[in-house]
Amino acid sequence: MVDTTNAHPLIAVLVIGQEGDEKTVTVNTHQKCEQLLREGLHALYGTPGPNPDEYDLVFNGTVVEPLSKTIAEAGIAEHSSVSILPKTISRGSR
Amino acid sequence: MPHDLDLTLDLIAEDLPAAERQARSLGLALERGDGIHAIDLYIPYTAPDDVRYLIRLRCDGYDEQAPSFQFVNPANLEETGPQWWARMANISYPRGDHGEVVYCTPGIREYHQLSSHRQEAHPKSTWKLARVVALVWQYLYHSGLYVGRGGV
Repeated sequence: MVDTTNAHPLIAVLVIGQEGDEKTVTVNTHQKCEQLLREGLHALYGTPGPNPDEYDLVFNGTVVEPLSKTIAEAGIAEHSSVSILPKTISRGSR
Repeated sequence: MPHDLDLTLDLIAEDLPAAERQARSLGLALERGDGIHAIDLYIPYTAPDDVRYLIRLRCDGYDEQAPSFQFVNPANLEETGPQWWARMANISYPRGDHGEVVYCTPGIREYHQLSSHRQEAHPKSTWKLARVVALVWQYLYHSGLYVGRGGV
């Protein structure tokens, strides 16, 4: 019997930056989410990209934590969309 | 100088698809107003205590000026005020010159109108609709615990 669970580990994921810019990256579902974050930042902002430690990976409105979980474990599948947002935003005061 | 309404509506229409994709990715519902409210975008929010809120992003003058961010009475979209705001633990709430509550971050009109920030120069991309949607998400889900209605 053929095991189909690992038959198509490569998936295309749409990454959306803070200003709505979009890129598609191809990742392996067995990779960790931190790899998706890194590749998404590179796709959006080039190399060397921003420091991944300063960004959140958001899927279905929730920050993916921990980033050490695999892309499959996070529920990210073919043609999913994820947003990559800075962990902190500038806040002013009066 | 008055803003060209047709141009504003065109620019909103141009940037709206990316904002909608951003909203979907962030788990937010983004709705556009009808008729005279076509310059407004709305994002509903149900708090952990099941109280329902509505954020209005008023985009008159877009993209020459940033969208206004105000919580409004869900039953009267023109009624703003602190009583309609969902309060978050890690947010401070300065007031503008007309007493309006200010979500004080670049990209939000009320921030740029504060006298303390009026002289700052920011590119228009700071208030691109998709970014403002991300700021809404930051407010609702990344600003500490929800601590109740009003009192801001």
